[in-house]
Amino acid sequence: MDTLTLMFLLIATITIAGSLITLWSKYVVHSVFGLMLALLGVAGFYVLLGADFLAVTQIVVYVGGVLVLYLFGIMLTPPDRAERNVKLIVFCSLPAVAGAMYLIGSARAMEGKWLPGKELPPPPGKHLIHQVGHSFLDKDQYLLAFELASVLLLVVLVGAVYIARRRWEASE
Amino acid sequence: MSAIEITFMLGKILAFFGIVVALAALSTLAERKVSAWIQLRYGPNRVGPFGILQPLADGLKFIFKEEVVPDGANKLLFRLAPAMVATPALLAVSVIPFSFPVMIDGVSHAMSIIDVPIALLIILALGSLQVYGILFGGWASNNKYSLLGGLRSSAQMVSYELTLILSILVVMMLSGTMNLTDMFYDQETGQVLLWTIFKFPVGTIAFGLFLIAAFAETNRHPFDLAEAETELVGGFHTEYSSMKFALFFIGEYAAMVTMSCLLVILFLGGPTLFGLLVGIENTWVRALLGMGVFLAKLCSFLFLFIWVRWTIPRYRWDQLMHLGWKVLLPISLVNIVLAGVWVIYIAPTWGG
Amino acid sequence: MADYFRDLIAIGPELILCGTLLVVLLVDLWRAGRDRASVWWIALIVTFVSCLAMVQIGSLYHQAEAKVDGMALLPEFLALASVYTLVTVCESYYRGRDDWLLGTIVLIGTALAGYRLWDLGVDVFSGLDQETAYWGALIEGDGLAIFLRALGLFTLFFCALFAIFYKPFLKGINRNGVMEWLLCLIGATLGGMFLVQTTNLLFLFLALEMMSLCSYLQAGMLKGDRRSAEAGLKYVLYGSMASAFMLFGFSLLYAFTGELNFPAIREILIGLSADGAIGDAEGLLLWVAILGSLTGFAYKISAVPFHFWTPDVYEGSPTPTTAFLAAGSKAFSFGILIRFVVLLGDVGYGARILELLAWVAALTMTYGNLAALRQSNLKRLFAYSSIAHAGYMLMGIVALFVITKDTTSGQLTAGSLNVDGAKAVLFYLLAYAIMNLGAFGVLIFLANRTGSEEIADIHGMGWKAPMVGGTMIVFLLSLTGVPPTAGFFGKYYLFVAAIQSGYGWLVVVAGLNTVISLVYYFRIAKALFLRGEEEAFVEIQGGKVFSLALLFLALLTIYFGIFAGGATELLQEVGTSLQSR
Repeated sequence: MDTLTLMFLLIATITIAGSLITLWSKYVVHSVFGLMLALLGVAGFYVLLGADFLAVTQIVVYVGGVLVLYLFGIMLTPPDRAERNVKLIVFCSLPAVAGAMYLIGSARAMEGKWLPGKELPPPPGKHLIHQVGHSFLDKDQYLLAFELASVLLLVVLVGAVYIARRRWEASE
Repeated sequence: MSAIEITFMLGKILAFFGIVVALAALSTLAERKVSAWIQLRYGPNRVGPFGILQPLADGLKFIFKEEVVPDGANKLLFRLAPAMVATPALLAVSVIPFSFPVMIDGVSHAMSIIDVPIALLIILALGSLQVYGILFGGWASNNKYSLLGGLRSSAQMVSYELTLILSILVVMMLSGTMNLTDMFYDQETGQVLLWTIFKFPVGTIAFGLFLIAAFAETNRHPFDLAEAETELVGGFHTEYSSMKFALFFIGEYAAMVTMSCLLVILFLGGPTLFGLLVGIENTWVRALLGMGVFLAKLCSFLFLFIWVRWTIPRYRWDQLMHLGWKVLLPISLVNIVLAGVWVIYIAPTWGG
Repeated sequence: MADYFRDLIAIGPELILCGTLLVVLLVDLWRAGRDRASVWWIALIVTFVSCLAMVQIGSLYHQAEAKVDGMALLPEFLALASVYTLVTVCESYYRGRDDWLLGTIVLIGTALAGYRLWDLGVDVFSGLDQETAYWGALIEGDGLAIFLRALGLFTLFFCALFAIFYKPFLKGINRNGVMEWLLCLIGATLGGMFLVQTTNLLFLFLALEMMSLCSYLQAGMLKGDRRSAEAGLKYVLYGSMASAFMLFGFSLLYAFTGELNFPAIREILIGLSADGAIGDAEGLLLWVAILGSLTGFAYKISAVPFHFWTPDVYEGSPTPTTAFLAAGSKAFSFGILIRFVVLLGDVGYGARILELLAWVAALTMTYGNLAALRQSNLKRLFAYSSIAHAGYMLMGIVALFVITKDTTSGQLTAGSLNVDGAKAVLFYLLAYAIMNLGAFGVLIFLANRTGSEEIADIHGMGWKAPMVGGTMIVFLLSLTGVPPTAGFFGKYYLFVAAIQSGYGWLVVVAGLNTVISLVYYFRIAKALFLRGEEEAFVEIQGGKVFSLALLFLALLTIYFGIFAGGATELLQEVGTSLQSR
């Protein structure tokens, strides 16, 4: 077994263990901890695949941003609600089981010859960020998607602020 | 990899971590010395000459203290939290170049432990991980002061991170790189004015924003509401004792050192000194002198951190949030637009 | 700059919608802070800058496009001027009673976008533009895209119009949420309009998420209404699950072919199956990939195993949102489904998927109709009816390919493309959008008076408001599929296409379902007209503009029921252009 496989197995274990903790732990805060492990594990996969930029972005956005907000919400709820109903945990596991079966099915399918339509380009290495930047801002690559994402964020931000906002009666 | 390269790498690891840990320890001493000086006292002066061995004594004391895990605390997270604060803070050191690159067998080696193109982003990512230790520590202690302290501190870190990132973005736009070594080279062409801080107004504003955000990120005065003694006993580490407490301490001071390093590299040209050092032929001599310059700049920032702590009163919670979201954030957004104007219209006329 | 123009013009309508979005946001901000001097200054500067920008862009446009004659961007200029006038008039005369201002701005913006789209459509359908890939082949401006974008703008127009008259947006706490709601509506339409144009898996996901996220937000926007909050939450939870499956499918497709663009994926798959490189295991993988991708679309069109969200969301959302979900969101999703099936239906294991889809279609329409029978809430009833209609339309998707079964090996193969299937679905989408918008419009009209959406509460209302009641009868007839309405031709084309492709049994199922649907549509008509006038407690007056809009929709329904020829010719052209792929 070479180092890469070993690393992969390690990271995969962390990711899967994290996801399972997320699903099954009794405390919601432990779930967040598990989710953090899982997300960090995914960042690890990105590093293994040579996508450093994506890995760091994953950490900054998901681990450092989104998850902290989750944790905030959870910590502000009363402690007696912080423990989860066991029935709910079992119920939550059902989709996980379904998903696992789906995955096993496709894993079975992957035993066949893998069919890359073409050679994938080599990982860009040192010029990764430049490539990412250019493909975002090049008219013939993903400029439109990049701009659309900004419009999406604006609209959703405004909508989410309205939904999260306390009722208006209080302020008027 | 040749033997000399491996030795060089190991040497770098030992030296840089040694420097940061030593600086973190010494700054606890400096904290007390400077405060004493400001308040017309002597400060610690019993252990060693001028009390210089005080941090060592403190460390020994911490190790021999009893470890208390409060009843009703969440054992797992309570034990993990200090490590989760200290680890990212120390890890961030690995991408910081402390000096000019050196040549070994004709190949240039950066003076950072690892030399990656996205060093800045890595520091940001690690900084954002620190929040967890504080939040988990506060929650796991099963103490309302701790929880409140943890919540306050993380809210503050999340809010000020925006300003921090946006001001770093400006520096990135000005220099066009995320690699820290390239970044200080970019500021070094023999002209004083090319340090980012002197690129008025864009760089100067970015410097101010970064400085304020750095104070908030490291939970330092005047933004240390997380552990406001008068309100929250000790904040998130109220329940901690012994080495666990020491780890929080190390994490905090290491974060301070990292922030100072960033300030030096991003805004004050890192190890450069008005173009005097670049011309030196022997890269090893240059690196050594550069490191001296770097450490001098670094220490002056550490002094600034301490100085501010003992002279400026603490902000109120709502003032803090108001400052972060309604003052600093808009300014930094406008500053980014200004930076765009700078890069397109002004920078070309400077020939830099 | 000049080389951007071709691509910018191709997304002109969307750009105008983005502009509308910003104008709505700005006007609302301005209204919030109108008593501050600084706001006046900022308003002045913004107006000045936008006028200047219009002039600049106009002259650039003029240089780049040789065929533009006269003043380029004149309509945009007029729209800007009219918005400005509106705001000024509202400020001086209607202060505090100007709830219609934002909605009207959206109407102006939509009309303008429609005008630009018309320009594009003329070029595409007269064959001026042969090369239709834009923005690095992220989007495709072909006939299908033009038609569905037009349909989307049509829906947007009427939803915004409904919102102006929708009572919860006029009174009570939700008055303050109109701006946010309108933004989300425009955002959802924008996402949908990009969705039907795209041929790139990544961009497809982004556009679909844009449409979905904005719809989730809209569904949960009624404050103080538990059902609305429930609707929003359910929609998000189910939706994210479906997105996850879809993304997994996409990732497998990418892993399988190494390409993100539909045509490239198709080419590679055809090449591989010609080489005989797709064995059992690979076939299974491909099957999983396509099935996963279809899950996301099936969720959006509420086909049967993924329909659970529909009744609750339709019931809980503000009614204009429900109208958008039923007419707009569904049309967009069917559009991308057509693209997806046309490109991947006859390669690899597409035939198996199509066979599966035929069963899904049968199940969907049967389930929808049977469940609708016992509903007492009108919005829930229409939710189930929309499930049923999705089933009918799936029939057209299935009919896109003729499936032949090899009797010896049992191997299914898909034959050539049957463009009548696409034509039928598109025509049905048009008819369905018109009649559904009309039906929801009537619902809003009635609910504004009665304050409830139960069938029991509209007894005898038809006599109180004969014109609106009459239009409702037209919509109901059309929904059932009775001539001379658009719904009749829609069903007719679908049945013809299905029979052409050899799905006789599916047509029989659909026919039976039509009979079932007659029962519950008739219940509404009965409640409206076959009860005495004295049973209606509410006095009805006013609402002239609104009734006129409904009348327009009813006339449109009848128009397409009599003169379907013009539309079908256009759609035939769309279908034929799909053949080139």
